[in-house]
Amino acid sequence: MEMASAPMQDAPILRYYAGSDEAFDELCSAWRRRLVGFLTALGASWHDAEDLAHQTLYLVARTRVRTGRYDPGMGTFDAWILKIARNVWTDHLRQIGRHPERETAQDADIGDGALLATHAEPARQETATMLHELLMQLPPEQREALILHDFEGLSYREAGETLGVPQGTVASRRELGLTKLRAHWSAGHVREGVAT
Amino acid sequence: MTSGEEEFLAPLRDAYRKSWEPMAGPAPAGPACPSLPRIAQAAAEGWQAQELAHVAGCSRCQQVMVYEFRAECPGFGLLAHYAAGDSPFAVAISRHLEEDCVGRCRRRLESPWLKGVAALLRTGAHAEDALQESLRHLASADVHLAVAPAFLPLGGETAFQVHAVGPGGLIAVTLKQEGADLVAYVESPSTSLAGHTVTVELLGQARQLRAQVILRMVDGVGAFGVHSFGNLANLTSDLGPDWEILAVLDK
Repeated sequence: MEMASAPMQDAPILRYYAGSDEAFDELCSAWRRRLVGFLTALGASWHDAEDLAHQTLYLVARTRVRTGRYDPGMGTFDAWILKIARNVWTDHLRQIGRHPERETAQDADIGDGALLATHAEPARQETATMLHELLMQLPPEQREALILHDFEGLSYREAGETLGVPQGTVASRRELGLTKLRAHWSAGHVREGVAT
Repeated sequence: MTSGEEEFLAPLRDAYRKSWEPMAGPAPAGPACPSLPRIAQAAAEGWQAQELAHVAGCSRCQQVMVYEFRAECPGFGLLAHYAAGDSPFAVAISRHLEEDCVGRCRRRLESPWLKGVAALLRTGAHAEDALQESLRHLASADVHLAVAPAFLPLGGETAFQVHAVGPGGLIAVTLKQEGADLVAYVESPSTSLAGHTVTVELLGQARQLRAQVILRMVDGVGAFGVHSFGNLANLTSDLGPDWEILAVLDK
């Protein structure tokens, strides 16, 4: 699946690199919620996802100062920013691995993520809730491949670059994840009696 | 993607994207808060006084500085002010030390040199100038021992060597294993530094070693000094696997 990305020539990131801080505000408006959704889908609590999304946007802002240019060789902007967010998330996991007491304290928060969008209509909210729960049941590497490819719209190549694995590995992980998701989804619908 | 897959995924993708709709987010930046691009720029190139005054008391800006310090640890200058108790980034640095488990910053805060600078900063207005002058003549390098010292080849081979050059290239330090000993070499291309003293510190996990090295003229080539910290195997149990070598010209 290849979802169309925004035309790069007028992308906010290019205007930001050209010196427009207003373009960065546009970028934040377009991406903040999406990053929170992505991070909660990966497994972050709502509170952590808000913080990590903010950190991701700061790191994007920082690259202009530190590198001076946006390198199109990095791939699409979507792939690039999702890679930054994913790195921030894995750093966070390492951090809470060193602070297990904080991880435990946050357990109650896990599951209240953005996929439980509160003002979605009930049927869609129920779908979002169930999707989130089933994604959490997948092994992390399969969950990441599925989210990046099927929900965030990255190509296998872009997802592979984001995850640091060959695109064939992404494809096989995504395939395994999708098979499990479908099986769990069917079982969940039978169990919960949720209409498809 | 097969049509069956798409049929299954389409409503899920729709639900997933619904989660991107606006909801209450974190506290927004206040009117005096510098933007994220401005904070990134100021962290790299310097702050204006009124910005620093604001950041010191703003929880949102301190949070952004935590992000900055996660990306790049605070340098010796910022840590010296933190140790002196007058850092505008005190909250962010404290959180960085607490949450990010940065052994490097903790080791630096135990540096006798840095503690001395912090004490000086507490006393007077000229201390800032002295600090900036020191930072211009400081070289440091991290060391990570990938194997326990018992497995280092302590015969004639050099198991490891690290080298760092300070800003402007005036001071360089090399830490290396020579036989069974750990030796620091300090050098400068400037013969005018002959006779000057360089403070050399080895900052380890539970121990800091300190030496004063006097630079001597080397045939018009530059100035040179050497110090042996002693037997490497005996040192590493206290130093741990991660160290930093620091050399700063005394003024």
